[in-house]
Amino acid sequence: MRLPRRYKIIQFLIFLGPILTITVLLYAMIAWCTYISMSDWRSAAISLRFVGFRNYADVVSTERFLVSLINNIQWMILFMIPTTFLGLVLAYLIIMTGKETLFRTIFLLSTAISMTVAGTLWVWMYASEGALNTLFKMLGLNFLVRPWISDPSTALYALIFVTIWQYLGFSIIVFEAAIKGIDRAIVEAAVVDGASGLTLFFRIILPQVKHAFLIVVPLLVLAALKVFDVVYVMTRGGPGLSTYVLAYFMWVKAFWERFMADGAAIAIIILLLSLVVVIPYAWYALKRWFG
Amino acid sequence: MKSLIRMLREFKMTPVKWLIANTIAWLIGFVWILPFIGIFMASIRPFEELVEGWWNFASFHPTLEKYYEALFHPYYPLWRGLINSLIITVPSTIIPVLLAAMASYAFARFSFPIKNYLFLTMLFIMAVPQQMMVIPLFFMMNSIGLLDTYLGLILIHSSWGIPWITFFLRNYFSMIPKEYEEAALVDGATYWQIFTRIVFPVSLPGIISAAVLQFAWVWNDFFFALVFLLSPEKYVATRILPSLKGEYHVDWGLLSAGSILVMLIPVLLYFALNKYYIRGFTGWALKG
Repeated sequence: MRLPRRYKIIQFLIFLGPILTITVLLYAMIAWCTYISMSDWRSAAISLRFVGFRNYADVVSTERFLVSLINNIQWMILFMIPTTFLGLVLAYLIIMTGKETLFRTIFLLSTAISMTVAGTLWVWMYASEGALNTLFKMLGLNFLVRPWISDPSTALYALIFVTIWQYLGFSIIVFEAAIKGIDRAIVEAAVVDGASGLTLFFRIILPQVKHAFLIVVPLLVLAALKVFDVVYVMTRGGPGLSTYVLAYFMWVKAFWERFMADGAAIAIIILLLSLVVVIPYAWYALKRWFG
Repeated sequence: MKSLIRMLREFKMTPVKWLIANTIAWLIGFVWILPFIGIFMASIRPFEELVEGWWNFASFHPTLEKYYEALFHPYYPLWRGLINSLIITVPSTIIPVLLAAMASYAFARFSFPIKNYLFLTMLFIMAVPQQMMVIPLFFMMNSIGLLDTYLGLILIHSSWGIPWITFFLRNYFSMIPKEYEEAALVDGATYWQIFTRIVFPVSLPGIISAAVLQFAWVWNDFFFALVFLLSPEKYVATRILPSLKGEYHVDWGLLSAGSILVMLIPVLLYFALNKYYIRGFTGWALKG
């Protein structure tokens, strides 16, 4: 790297110019969104008079916000926990079957398609006369037959399952790679000491795949906080408000009712919730990379 | 790696355990793949045949009629959506991958004062939800005349892709041995030459992985397309699909054929570049 200084700067700009520009631009957008959330822009015509936190107060006090927030939290928990643990267990089982390539192909297929397609596909599965109900009727499980996504008591959970269906493959291969990366000597020593089956899994495998949890869990939580496509395609937030989530509420406010300021306020709230998840993770990652 | 797995099998496997592992894995695998088979059957069979379940083959008359109907739908022709998706996706893959490759080369090899802070600043963007960007971008695109244009959406997707691709490729580049580059540098090559002649070709597998993921992400995106493309003749495939549902009467055959058509390209890409796709998912942890 012993080059004349001026020459160095040119090189620097060639390689880093585009990304610097984009980073600055994206940060400007964040700042701007923050400002809009404190403005009185509530109609088609732009208006940027500063009103402080009034929009936040208005948004937070609505029923739709409360329902969305609770639904997002439910989504986070009921999506993240099964996807993570099913992923870990299946990764272990798949390695035991010795047919990793085949199972990888099966489970990753649903990650390759659009959320929109997944939603459409499951609308068809869940429909009153759809595949799921037909199957239950055929098996004599008539008590399970119901209009899954038009029934307010099951709609949210039916949608959450669709996201589990889409993300499980991702969770599986991250854990699979982690399990395969475990040092052979550790497992061997444990086996020699007589560890087997569940003991091996809980005492040896589980602690050795900690870093995989640190990839899977934050990504799943962020996905649950941003969930939008599935709701838009499958239920549009209904029936009633039963499947309303923050990202959908934000879209409705900003691009349907044209209350841009309120939409921006919801966007900021989604960002703040994401940061709660990301900051501890980033802290940990930083210590690993740069510490 | 192989040896660990073989050992797990040698040491631990009894026939009962093998049976349990296989049963559970096959069962869940079957449930996971079932919707694909179902939607395919629904797309090639007339509705009357599906009432008893698509697995009932008492009468079986496959037809591609619904595919034709979906492609040439009078209000929402899917063929145009698929073309629009391609027009958006191809440049939105090439541009960010090239720019990000350059940036991550700089991050992996140059040393400059604020490098780590800059990297972090960029990393933070990956946590920012799309919802944060759309309102100011909507306003900006509108005022510079790029709202509802292909170019506008391509620029947005490209900018949105650059941070994560840079992060991904930086991990990849820092694993490449430096010897060749140092030799080339001694021989008087510029960084640009080193990048284009050595680093880029050597790291092509990583670059393909990033490109596959970016392609899939842009093709599968719905939110940006929903907000930034407003005129129906510019709708991308994922935007048209929900419209095929209709207001009152749902034509399941049409909808399933549409689903198959929209997922066709990413699924083919997934099968063709499976290895790169998987590396794209697992590559994050490599330097953990």
